[in-house]
Amino acid sequence: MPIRNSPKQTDFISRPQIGVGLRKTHYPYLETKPQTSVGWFEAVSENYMDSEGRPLHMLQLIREDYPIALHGVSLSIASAEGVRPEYLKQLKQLKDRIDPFIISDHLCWTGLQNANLHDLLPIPFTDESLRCIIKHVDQVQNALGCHILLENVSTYLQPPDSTYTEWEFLKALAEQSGCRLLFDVNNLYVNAKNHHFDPILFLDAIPTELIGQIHLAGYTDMGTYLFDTHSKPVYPEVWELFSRLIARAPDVPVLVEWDDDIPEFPILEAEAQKARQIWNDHHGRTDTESISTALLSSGA
Amino acid sequence: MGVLTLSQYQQLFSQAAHRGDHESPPVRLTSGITPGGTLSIPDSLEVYRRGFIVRLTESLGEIYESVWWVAGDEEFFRLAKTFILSQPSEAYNLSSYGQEFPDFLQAMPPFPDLPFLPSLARFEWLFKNIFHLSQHESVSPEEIQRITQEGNLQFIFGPSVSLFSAPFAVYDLWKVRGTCHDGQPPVEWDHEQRLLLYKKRDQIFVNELDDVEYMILENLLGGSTLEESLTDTARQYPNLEQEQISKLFQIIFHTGIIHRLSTISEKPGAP
Repeated sequence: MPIRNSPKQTDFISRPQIGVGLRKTHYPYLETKPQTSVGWFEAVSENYMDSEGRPLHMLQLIREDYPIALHGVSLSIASAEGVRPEYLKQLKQLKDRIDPFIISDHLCWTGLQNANLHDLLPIPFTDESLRCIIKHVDQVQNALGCHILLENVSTYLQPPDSTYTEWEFLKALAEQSGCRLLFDVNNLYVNAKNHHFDPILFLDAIPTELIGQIHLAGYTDMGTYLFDTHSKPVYPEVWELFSRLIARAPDVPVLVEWDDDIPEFPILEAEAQKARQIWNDHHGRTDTESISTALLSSGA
Repeated sequence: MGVLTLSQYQQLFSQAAHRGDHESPPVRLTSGITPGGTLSIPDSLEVYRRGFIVRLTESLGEIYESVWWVAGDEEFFRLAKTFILSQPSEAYNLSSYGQEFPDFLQAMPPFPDLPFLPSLARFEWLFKNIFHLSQHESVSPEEIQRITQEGNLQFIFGPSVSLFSAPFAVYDLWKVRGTCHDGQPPVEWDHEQRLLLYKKRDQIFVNELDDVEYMILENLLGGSTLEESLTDTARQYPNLEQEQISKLFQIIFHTGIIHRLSTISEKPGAP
């Protein structure tokens, strides 16, 4: 049943555009219905898809006051075996319950259906992969009745036989499939360091009209590579890239993620405020003006 | 060697992730990989293999918190890794992984000091499932009292209502999880336990039952009418007393586990 009396996309007009990830650590705090400065929450779809318990009740409670984006980790859109019908069915049911303004997942596969690794695994950037993913995007968007966003992921190796760069692949995918991109600036930076390319090349190669959302998070330097842990504040280098991106993409919803060593909610809020400040530095207009545009163009 | 298809690549990658500690990843895969950072090719694959094992271990640890506590870190991690590498996940949702862990523990060489581990694991899996089930609206005690005079009454329980029995006091163990112990948990666990679990107000409640209460409820949950259930129980416990039945009904009233009442004529498939 759709949620009644909850904020719709147009309600964003009265809210700032920066969101944060919804994590169970913060349920007790959010349950008290505090005033927050965040404009929306992003919920991990799988945490609510197969549950009628407290997590779903909490999501519905928060949905009464905030717009929600659903962000999945198990769609496995790049799996050669295809997308699981039962997964799509559950996701559609959650969509109908929550009325999210964005549904997203990752540009990756997660494992074989009989041996799932539950990880965001790298794909070869080939024509075959592109054809496979375009077909799956079409299937998913038809099943859900809306556009989806796909996120660039951090990787620690490059699979064999790629014939595209990552940014060429992302651009081709969005242009040919009709999905939009969830542009994770931290993942871009991690991959630039791990795979030795200039992040600006990547950043500037993606037309902003293909970007439907931006993610920010912190990585961990493992010594021999950077690891996407979401366990730290956003690094200065990532803020710099974000600043360059937001300068030409003023109307894109932005989200700060923090998944490990999660701090108190006000610290997470403060991190979101940094993103807002950078946005203000560039555009010098109120958040509310930009958000109305964002919502009109989000199209989900 | 030609270009790998997407399917071939994914099969080889999966094989590399599930390999044993002393096995090498497939050459067909490693020969084409470009490692990230300053990692070697095997180390770049190991990032994913290690990450997968850690992620599934964390998930098992969240579900089987008491097993972890009582077994200790080293033993739990060893058990989890063996389980993960031998029982691939077929679930799309990570939190659905691990249903076979209790059976896996049962099939392991016995744990001489911790014979209750498989039973404790079964209890925790059930507990996790109940957490995600919906709650029900209870029939009022007045309604139950009004019609329990009818022998052909069938009780329809809420979806979260479950029974559990084990040869060890697993609920007592579960209650003290997290407390300090040096090998043996600080409770008397070497006796049978029969339990009623249900969900109310977003919380899971556990009631300990005696053998008679358990049997009557088991019959009722299985779809028997009240009369059938009592008759069956009386056959096994000829000394069944009215007082015991009254006590069970006190539990039923108090817990609110009944969602609906119907007479036998409403039984599914009944004419």
